[in-house]
Amino acid sequence: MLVDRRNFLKSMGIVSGTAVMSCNRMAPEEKLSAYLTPPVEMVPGVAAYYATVCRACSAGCGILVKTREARPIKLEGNPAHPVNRGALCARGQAFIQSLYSRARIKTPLMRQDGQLVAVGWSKALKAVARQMKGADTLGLLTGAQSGSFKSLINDINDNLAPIQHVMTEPVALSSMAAAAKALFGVHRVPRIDLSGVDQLISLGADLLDTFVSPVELSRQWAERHGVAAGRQLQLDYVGSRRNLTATAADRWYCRGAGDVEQLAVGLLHRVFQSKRPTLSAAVARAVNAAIDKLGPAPKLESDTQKVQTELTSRLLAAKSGLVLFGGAEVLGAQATAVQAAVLLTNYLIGAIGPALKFEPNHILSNINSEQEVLDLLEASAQGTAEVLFIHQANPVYTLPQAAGITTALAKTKMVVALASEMDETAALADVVLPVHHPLESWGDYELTDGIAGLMQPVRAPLYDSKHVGDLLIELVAHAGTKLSHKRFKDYLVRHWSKWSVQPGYQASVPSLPAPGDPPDGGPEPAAPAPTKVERPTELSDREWEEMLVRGGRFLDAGGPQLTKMKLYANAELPRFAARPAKGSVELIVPLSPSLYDGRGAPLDWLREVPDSLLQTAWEIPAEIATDVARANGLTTGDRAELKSASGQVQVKVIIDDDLAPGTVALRPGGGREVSRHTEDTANPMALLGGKTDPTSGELSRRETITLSRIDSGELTSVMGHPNSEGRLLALSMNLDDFNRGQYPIITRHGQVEPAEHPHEHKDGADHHHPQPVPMPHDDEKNRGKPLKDNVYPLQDLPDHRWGMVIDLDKCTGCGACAVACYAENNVPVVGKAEIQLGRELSWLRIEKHVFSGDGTSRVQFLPVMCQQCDNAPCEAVCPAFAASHTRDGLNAQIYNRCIGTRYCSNNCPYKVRRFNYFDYTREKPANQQLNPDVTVRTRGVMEKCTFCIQRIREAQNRHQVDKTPLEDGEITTACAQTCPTGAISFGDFKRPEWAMSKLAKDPRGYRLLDYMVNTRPGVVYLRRVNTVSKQNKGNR
Amino acid sequence: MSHAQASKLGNFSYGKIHRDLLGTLGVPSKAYIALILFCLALAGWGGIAWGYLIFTGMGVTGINNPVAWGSFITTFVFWVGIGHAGTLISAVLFLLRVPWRTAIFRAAEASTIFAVATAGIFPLIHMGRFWTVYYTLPYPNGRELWPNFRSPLVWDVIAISTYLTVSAIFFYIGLLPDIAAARDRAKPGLKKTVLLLLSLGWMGSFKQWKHYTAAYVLFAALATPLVVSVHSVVSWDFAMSDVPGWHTTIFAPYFVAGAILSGLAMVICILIPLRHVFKVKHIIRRYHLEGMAKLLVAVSIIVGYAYGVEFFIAWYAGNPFEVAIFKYRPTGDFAIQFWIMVVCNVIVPLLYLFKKVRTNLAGLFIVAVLVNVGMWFERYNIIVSSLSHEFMPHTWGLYSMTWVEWSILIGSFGLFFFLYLSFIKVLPAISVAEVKESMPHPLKEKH
Repeated sequence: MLVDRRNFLKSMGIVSGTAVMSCNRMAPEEKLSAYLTPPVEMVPGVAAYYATVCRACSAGCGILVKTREARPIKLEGNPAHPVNRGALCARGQAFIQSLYSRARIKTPLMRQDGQLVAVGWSKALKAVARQMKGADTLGLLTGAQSGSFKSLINDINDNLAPIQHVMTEPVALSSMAAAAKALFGVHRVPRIDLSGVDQLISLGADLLDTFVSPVELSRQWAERHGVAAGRQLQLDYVGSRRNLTATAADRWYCRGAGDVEQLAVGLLHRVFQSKRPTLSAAVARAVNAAIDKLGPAPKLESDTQKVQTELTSRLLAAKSGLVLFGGAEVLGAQATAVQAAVLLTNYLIGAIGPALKFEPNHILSNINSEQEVLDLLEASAQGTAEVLFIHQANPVYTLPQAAGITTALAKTKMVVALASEMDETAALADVVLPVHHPLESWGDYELTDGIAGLMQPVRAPLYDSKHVGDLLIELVAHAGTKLSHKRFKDYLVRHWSKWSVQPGYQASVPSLPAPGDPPDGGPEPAAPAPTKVERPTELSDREWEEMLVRGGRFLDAGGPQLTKMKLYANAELPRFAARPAKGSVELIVPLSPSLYDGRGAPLDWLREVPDSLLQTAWEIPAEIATDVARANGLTTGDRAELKSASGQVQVKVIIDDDLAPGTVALRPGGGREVSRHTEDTANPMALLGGKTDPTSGELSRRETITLSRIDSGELTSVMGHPNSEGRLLALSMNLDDFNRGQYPIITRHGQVEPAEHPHEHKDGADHHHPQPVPMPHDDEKNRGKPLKDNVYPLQDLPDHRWGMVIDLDKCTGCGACAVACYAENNVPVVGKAEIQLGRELSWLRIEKHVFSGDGTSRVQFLPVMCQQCDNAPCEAVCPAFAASHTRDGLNAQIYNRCIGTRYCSNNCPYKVRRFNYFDYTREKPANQQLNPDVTVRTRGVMEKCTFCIQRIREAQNRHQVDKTPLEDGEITTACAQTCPTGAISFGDFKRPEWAMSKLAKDPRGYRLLDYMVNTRPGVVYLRRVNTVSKQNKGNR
Repeated sequence: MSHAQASKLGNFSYGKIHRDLLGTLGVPSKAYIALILFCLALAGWGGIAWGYLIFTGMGVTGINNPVAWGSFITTFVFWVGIGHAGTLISAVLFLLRVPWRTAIFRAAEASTIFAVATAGIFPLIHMGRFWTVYYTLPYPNGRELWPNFRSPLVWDVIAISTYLTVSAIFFYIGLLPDIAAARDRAKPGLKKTVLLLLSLGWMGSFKQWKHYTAAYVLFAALATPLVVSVHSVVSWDFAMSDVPGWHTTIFAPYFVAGAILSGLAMVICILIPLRHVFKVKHIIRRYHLEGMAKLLVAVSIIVGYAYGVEFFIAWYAGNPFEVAIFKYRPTGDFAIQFWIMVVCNVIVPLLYLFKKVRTNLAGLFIVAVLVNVGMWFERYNIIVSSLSHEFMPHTWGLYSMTWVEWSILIGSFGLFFFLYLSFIKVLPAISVAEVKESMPHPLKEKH
């Protein structure tokens, strides 16, 4: 045979084909099959977004789930959702990690000989159904549930057996609902609206940390508090910790929880005194009666008295004031009495209605108190409820251990955990049935009648789990009863058909003008009779799809009708008693902005991203006041035993200068088996005695404890040094100067304060005038021209100069941006030991700067990412051009060109470059979360922020195809996208008409370290504006 | 004073010198074998540690963010510094006709070659991905990618490789007559063949000597500027950056002085045992060591001056970041290292001002060892303390060495001494030709 080219290729083809086929046994079998008909919205390489609801807490923010090739990879806020308007907090950003969590339950489990063992679905279902069949009553404990789930439960309740359904969420303000019930006769929690408030006095309500709806409240706060909007809102915070709210507040008064309660009651007395002449006789009488019930004004110490006077006068001077009480750190056994005092105060200043909106169906109004949870558990233990279902609730961890929950569960005939992740409660259940993660589920979350979020599954279930609704339907069917629908989705569609606006039907909840009239104590006008409408059985496909795309149904301006709050003439209120004598150490259990009630603890991002306040990662130390530390011989990093009447725990401690004297704060999240690095952490619920407020049943989160030192240790801190050492880093200015338009000037020699500005000479010579350092808009004018203060002309960038503005006046230090960066950019989690060595890989860090002196101090946060310098020091020193400048002004890092000399890191004044010391792998299935647009970096290379270059390129590619110009706001970075207060904005300095470029010209603007190192960064920081230049220190 | 008197090689014949010096190449003793194996073991241990580092990641060292450079760069600069004395003594002192150079320059030059070779490994160890080291070389490639010639690290690659090349050639040229002499003595066999090839047909003819002398002067002149340039370039690794405490114009002369100081100290450390073991005390005399000691103390004073100037300039220029770092160095977390540096490099060498110390072998040796310790800590102090306290206080952090770094540091000493010990048994560590040349004529006799 002639071997010509064709024959050669043929025979080679046969040979290599045979070789490959015979090799095939070596590799594990994997199936790769193409879609016969691909889903319409799935284009390889193009992200699809699905709207659903974040279930990381009860705020109910809307999210868009970014999926690539059918895998959810990132969560972003849903801009159409009225609660969060596109933003998300750190927990929301990390919520996707719970989908891929290592704690996910993969198969049904049943207890056999004391051990949970894997069983098949049919066996587990039969066992539960058998128990259900004969049951007189069923118990159901869940997290916040609404709408369709409720209708399913009602259906079961009507057809099978009565269900005691109890819902629990941490700090759901049951005390406020109870107070509203006592005063106004409605058991409701209001929605808070800061949009008209001028003076907000927060008594322990940490609205920027965890209170009710932090993303929403942060945005509302920033919109009115930011100086860009003229500082229309001032926030005074009274609380025992310098938390995010206290740090951002205009004034912070450090007072222990007991003082805060007394202040709240005292404030009512003072406000009533001055408001009395303006009140109608009936109202005055009613208020007076209520105050009488609460008891006399507490006797305050002189300095607290002073605080009260200040607060009163500011509250009364304000056009529209608001007082909030009831963050986790102040809730005690008298919560209802204090809430009543605060509600009365709000009533007197006219805040009820405009700022506190009592809507008919706020989900928090339906949340049960902790006492009701305990009652349900007790009832189950006594055999009332024969089968207890627990779903999205973890009472064993989140409620005081002293309340005997473990025993109650053990005594209950059958405890069935309907859980997607293993937790402390599921571990004690008799049967554990795996249910879909919220991101795998249909469902809804109706925050109020006006805000109903729709949930849709965004991926096929990862494991052999069932939808919780389908599971319940199946169980009921096994128990021999038929329900009205066979699938949960039918309940959902049926429930949502009330929103149908098809011709012939009328929406059952009409958009009504609100808000309600100012309180006058007059008789309540008759509510307009709701139009009787017949509900359609089905939504039109178009309507359903529109709601799915939008993420739910949101009423436009006005919202639903407000309830008219009429004060009872003779309200029944508990008496407020002054707090017990001093001298003991009080433990408070605040919620953590990242770990919340502990549910964030298994999520590595939330542990790895340092706590902004304490600047520790992975640790959940007990914060102890300086005097407590001194009395017990403790220093930061020590291990200590905390002991109360109910139990003891061993934790590491951190001395917090800004904690009220005699206070210890321990946040939940520690001691969870499902999370990593639990050493020296503990659950504060082991210390709480399980006391609840007798009126509302809300848990008291305070307890008297004692401490003793065990041994010394070290905390995993990311903070090298607590203050700026006089360097111009986290800058601020006074409100007075701002109002006068006098800004500090930064020159090459440092900062010139307004008071030091030289006056212009009469001869017109201004050579004594300080020369400000150039800003980006100056640079844009001077590109390519010789410069006095630069050896070379600035590089010529033809089309773009991407840039960023960070408004420090809006930054609360919440850390959402840092977590978003982890999610977007495949930033590896390195773990506690590596962070101890200083090897965190965070591309964006939140620096804490403490400015202290003469007994006062101020804290400011500074988010720092790569500054994308024009004169980038990193680029010149890289021998291999791995660090190099792009034509649009970014400092690119070419990972496969990096040889790992780390010179760039040394030369970076901002220290934002991060080196891969090891190969960091992701546990399966967490690898499915990786963003395919971002390289996963290998060991030995440097990595850093590039303003989410993949997002820039994605938009540019799109426009390359469309041949349309880029629009402002179309490209944004992950950090800017998620920022709840809108402190970060992204844009292009070559487009002066874009919002970011306009912001960058703010005279508050400065560039980090540029005055000394002449790096000419692309990030402009806007100074924070301090209403009061110095705050009191915690330990006076 | 004649040359001969100055070198004090009064009463020996050419024959004795010849026998004594080439005699050092005889059969090694058991102690020698044990020592060289020990050095090899140390080097091997260092190699194992490096292998562990390669397969695990840079994380096994103590470096972190902000201290991204640690003991490897410290040790690199240390060995480059050691590599300074050799060329200084052999080239600069040759051109200056310094009389005490003759007996010791070969030993010094050898230490240069081996120190620079040892140093050359460290940038590789230090790299996150050392298998991509060729990215720093200007090799032709389809993507037309060049190294970044703005980067001091590329200058470093060029400077060190040039220095190593020129030093090696200069070393080899100086060796030629001695290789020939060794060749003539060697019995037929492999050793003879190798020496035969290496000696390039050296016959000692007048013409060869004429060319040889011219070439030697030429290379001495060529090597001399390199003594200054190579450590200047190394110093620019630091001075060209913006790091407070590095970014200063004094760095080039300061580093050159420091390098010479450490090189001289290392040569003294080597010569004292060498002359004892090889029984050449009559050739390498205290006089030679004293000359080195005098040079050392002079350089040490320059180094001390440089230390002082750094502080003065920081204060005088008033840059707050510079001021902060110079406050931090003597009082901060690395104060111990700082004071070790000051005591060993500035205070201890002053003992050489006393004739009693600089003529006393123990005194000479101890001071020289301490200077070497001090010079290592100087680099440690410059690198680590500056990096740990840069511009943003929030990012400040500390550094400490891990067992891997200690192993590699110790391994580098093992490698250096292994190479050195190997050399002295293969080729004469003292120049036979030049020692003979420096002897007065009347003493010449037939071999």
